[in-house]
Amino acid sequence: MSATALPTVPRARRVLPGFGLTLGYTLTYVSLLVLLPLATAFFKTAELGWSEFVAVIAAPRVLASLELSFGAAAIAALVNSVAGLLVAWVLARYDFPLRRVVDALVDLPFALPTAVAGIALTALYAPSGWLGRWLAPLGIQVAYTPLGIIVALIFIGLPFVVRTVQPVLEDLDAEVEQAAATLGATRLQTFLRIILPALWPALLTGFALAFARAIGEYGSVIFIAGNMPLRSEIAPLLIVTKLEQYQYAAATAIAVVMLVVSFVLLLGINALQGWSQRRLGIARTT
Amino acid sequence: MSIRVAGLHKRFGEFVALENVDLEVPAGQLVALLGPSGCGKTTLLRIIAGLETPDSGEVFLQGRPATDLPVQHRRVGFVFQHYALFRHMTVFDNIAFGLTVRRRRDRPPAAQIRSRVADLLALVQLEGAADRRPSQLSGGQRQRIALARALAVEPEVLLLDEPFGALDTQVRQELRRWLRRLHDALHFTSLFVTHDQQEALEVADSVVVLNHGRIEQRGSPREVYDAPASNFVHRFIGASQELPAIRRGGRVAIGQLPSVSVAGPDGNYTAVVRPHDVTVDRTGPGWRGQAVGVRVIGPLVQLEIALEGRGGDPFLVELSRERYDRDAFAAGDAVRIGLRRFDLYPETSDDSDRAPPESVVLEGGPEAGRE
Amino acid sequence: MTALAHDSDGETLAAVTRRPRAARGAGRSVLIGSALVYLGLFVLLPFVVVFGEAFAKGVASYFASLADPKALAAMRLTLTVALIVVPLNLVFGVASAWAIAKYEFRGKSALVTLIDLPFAVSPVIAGLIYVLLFGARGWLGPWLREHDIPILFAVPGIVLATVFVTLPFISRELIALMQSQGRDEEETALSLGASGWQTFWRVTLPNIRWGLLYGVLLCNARAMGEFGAVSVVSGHIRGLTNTMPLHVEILYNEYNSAAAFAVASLLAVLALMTLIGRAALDARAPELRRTTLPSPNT
Repeated sequence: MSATALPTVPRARRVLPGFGLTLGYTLTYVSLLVLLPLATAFFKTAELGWSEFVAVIAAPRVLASLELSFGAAAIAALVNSVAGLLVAWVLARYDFPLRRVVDALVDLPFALPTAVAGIALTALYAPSGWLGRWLAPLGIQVAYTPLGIIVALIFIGLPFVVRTVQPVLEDLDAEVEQAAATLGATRLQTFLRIILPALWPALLTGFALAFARAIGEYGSVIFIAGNMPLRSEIAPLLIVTKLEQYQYAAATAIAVVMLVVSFVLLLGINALQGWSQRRLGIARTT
Repeated sequence: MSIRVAGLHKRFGEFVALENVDLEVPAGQLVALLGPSGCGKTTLLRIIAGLETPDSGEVFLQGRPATDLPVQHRRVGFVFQHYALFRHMTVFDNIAFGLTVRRRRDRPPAAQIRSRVADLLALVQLEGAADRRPSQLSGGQRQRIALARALAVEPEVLLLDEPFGALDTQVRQELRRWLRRLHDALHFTSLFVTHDQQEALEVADSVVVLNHGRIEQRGSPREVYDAPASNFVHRFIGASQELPAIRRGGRVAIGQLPSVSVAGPDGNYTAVVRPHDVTVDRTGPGWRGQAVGVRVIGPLVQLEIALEGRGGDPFLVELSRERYDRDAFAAGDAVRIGLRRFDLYPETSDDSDRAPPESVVLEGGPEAGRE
Repeated sequence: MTALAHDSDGETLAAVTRRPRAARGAGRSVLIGSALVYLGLFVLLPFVVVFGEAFAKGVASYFASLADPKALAAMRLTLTVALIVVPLNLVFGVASAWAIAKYEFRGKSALVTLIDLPFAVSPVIAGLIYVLLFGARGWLGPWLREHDIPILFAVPGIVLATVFVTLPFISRELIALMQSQGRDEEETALSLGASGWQTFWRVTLPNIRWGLLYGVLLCNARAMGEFGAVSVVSGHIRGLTNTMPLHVEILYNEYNSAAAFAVASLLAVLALMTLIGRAALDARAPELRRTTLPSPNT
């Protein structure tokens, strides 16, 4: 339908009924439950004043926690980008026994409550744990160190990369690869020059999603982290600590820094997804 | 039920979909809205159905103003290109839908609905399909169910948006002939949108050609083909090719062809020629050229001719098999061509120019006596 | 049947999976093997360990931990919260998807981003903003105390924080689904004389039912499992404002590991059932998988 694909202005009369009711309800709901509470955080921070705000954020303990949260999130997202691409590739391209079960398994970190994941990972990687006891003699300690935080963030981030990359891989036109082969490309060349460029936006989106999720993650991390100030204390935990000490303004200041980064990431992700769809020419034929 | 629209305007943002469109469809006619994509034909159809509201202008159904009438009350049947069958319902429930949503006092009893659906299934030749789901049907079958569903509420107007656009060539040919027979049998007023000129010419009583949101021409299939009202219609309907022409003192000269007397202002013109309005001979007074390709397509033969002094693609000529068999032109042969008929447009004309052409028919063409 | 019947049609079959087969060989095995090892180590093992630890002290101790009154209270609260939150977000999801998918209007993409926002917000911050609104020193705190309306450290606070973190699930699922379905069927129903409500109940709702269920499944899983946001607003009052995840934390911090894992195992079973339900829906309506994009903080 040529008409719907075109830019439209608000129409005076709409044929399908219910627009006013549903939009009004949606706007009210979102304003009361999302916009108003979030705005409160920014107003609360504004009470602080700029110099106080900087003083809160520049405190060594706060800086260390932000550094740890962003750093560990970035490393985990990077690991997941590589491993997630591998898993997505295997699921999209190969048939093997229990493929459907493995495919469903990828979503487990989505579905498992974070607190459960947290204590389970701790039980695995504690020095006396299922895996920890084999790692300890090698001098590797995972639980109660930043390494443990990274492990937890890898766990929760994996589905994001797999689930963004996998559909794109499945949609790739087999004929394009066959065309590359008829032109003499080896499988490696086909992968590097045909497949990877097509996957790039999805991979970047998956990375950003995993990263965004990992920055704010709380439940799965606090059990395994050890939570030593300056060493293994993540920013969300520091917010909780400040709250418990009734330092509302300080807690809110840290929250605002994280919120701003999250919003920028969200906008970036939206732009990426738009770019990726345009690039792949997903044009609706209707 | 007759349809009339007057002074319709519709914009989508910057895009002008319809610009001052007036159209009248008498009751009982089957009319095609023909045009390239983006010409506004679908928008016009949707405005008539009440699925879109015009920015200005009026819609009349059976002479009564209907611009503000909700789609539910217009008594129009609408058929979408992609069928829009309710995918979760069986074929039976799809067809019965329009009857079962009526208020209880207007709703026919269940037995009557059943027999009506059975009649419609027979009409669209899908008697056994009542319990199937849309996903179990082929594209052609789905479109026939969509048609039956639209007919179930006994609409006075049937509106079809590219009804055969998503189907294979052979299926669409069969379906459109069937639609024509159905129309003749039931006598409702039908309006259908298509970008396929073959379909429009073959099925419709009357063809409306749209371009850039305006009606270029309205006429019988024969009229729009034989007497195109504009350069656009000429080029959009049927094959045509252009030759540069010059008029000096009432005589038109086209390449090496003998000049013809056509009164009018001096200047440069474009002669638009249909491939079958060209004569070919081995000798004579025509434009010299060389046959570069010969294709026999069933009863028809296409010759490609490189004309002296004319660059670009070869000039295309269509001959009847009978005519071709007399001379059996082969690639490489030297030939002379003449024109039996051409339309003259000022050289500056383009799609937006709606000036009618001057039609020139040369009854005494070089070959006139022999055909 | 006449000649009309013999149209060829690949449409229905074209959607069925066509996966390009790579050549069999060593490379293939290595890739599959490493993917499986990675998933086993990082995903499956943490899941298995929950059950291993839960039964570490034997079956009797496992069931005793579950039958503990505080554990039962936590289960009740978790169910209550889910029973309130899911219907709220269900109605919102349908309304927002109808407005966004069926109409064009200015500011639509901004609204979609706004609906997605809770996904990008750390759960802890989700709790924090409600503390700022309703806490003793918050904007509405004094007024609420005067009128004796408990929100923070009470069930309403837990519900609000949970609504916030689960708000996008059903909505974004339905928006994507309804956008892909277009308006043709609704317009047809209207042209056949159906009213707005008839169109919604008889055409739209049946078309989105699997997507709706899908969204409900995810929303419910998150609502029952939410930890960070709830932990900030609940006040950890045992037997009163402790949900199951919070109860797990308390037991764990008291070095009652087996009991913690016993309660956790129920949540793990919930996760498993969610996955199974999801897989069943995927099999039933494969197009859902296509329309679902993952999102941060699910």
